[in-house]
Amino acid sequence: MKARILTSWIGDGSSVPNSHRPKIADDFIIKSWEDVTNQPVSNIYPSPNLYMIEIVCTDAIFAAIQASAEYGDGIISTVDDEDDIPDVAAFNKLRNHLKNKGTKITDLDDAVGKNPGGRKKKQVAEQLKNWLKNLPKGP
Amino acid sequence: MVLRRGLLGGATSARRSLLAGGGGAFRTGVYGTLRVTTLLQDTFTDTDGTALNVHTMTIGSGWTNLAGTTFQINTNQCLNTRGAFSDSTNDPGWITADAGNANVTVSVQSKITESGFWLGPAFRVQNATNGWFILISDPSSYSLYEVSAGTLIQRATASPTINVGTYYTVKAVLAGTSITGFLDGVQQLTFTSATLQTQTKMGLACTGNNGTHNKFWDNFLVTSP
Repeated sequence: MKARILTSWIGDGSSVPNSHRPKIADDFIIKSWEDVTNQPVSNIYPSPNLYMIEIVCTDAIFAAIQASAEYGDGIISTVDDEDDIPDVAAFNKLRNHLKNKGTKITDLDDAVGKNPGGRKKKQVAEQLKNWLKNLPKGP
Repeated sequence: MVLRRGLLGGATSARRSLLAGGGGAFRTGVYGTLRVTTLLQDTFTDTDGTALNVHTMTIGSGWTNLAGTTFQINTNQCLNTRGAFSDSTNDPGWITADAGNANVTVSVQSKITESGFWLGPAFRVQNATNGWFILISDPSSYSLYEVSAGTLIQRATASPTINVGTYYTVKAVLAGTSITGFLDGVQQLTFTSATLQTQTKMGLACTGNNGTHNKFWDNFLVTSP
């Protein structure tokens, strides 16, 4: 399964074993991933500590991620549904996920929009990615 | 069709022959309409114990240490016994040579001799604290790192099988903002970044803890495109 998903950064960047990296890759066995947000190094960790990566994993691992309280609602799209329009309930779960991860309520519209608005999941992902890329450095 | 195969086969052989040749500033081969130029090459053939920064490359103006002197020749390979990036000492983690071009293919055979250590090619390196590298380690680590002001950021990762004691050809293809990583000819990852995209220094990178931990490279090659 290939999917775009939100994760936080971990690692202090001081060494290879402790490099800045996506937390989800420590929490689940993922075959491969790519940082599709490419936040500037000077802003890592951003506030909120959040960015988007593209993962490739087995169906079983993906099911576990979907069931995870930490990551499940932060799945933006998969290779199978990226051209679908998200339903309102799923979209609101994503907004709520962003809020729970530290996004200010006043920033949610900039991050993903007020509602799906007829956009495909990959278009929502693009807006969110661009918003995440410009997050300021956190405290 | 037979004629076409014959022509391509001939060109390939010629290219291999040219790439394998020694001496000269650079070598150029032609494959169909694609012109491939060897900018840097090193088979690490020299006397054991020769420091890499005084060793003469097969093609290229020579190696420059970013810090320290622990890259050396060993049985016609390159050996590093220590490494930075997870080391409390200041032993070098990378060494570079100037390819004069940032849009290149960097390839090197890489081998770890014990678990828990990393090595591979470095590319688009600006200085001792800014650049890129791909590092492999056992049992299944293949990662692209951006180094910025000494901070390491993992940008992409794959999980091919990596065995201790086995040479793997690790290759990075750099084209504009695109970085594509291969292992033994199989694509593992891709990443897009404009960071340091005009830097022309390419080389070797590794990491390891304190103590003696042998890491080997062989057949370093930088070609354009």
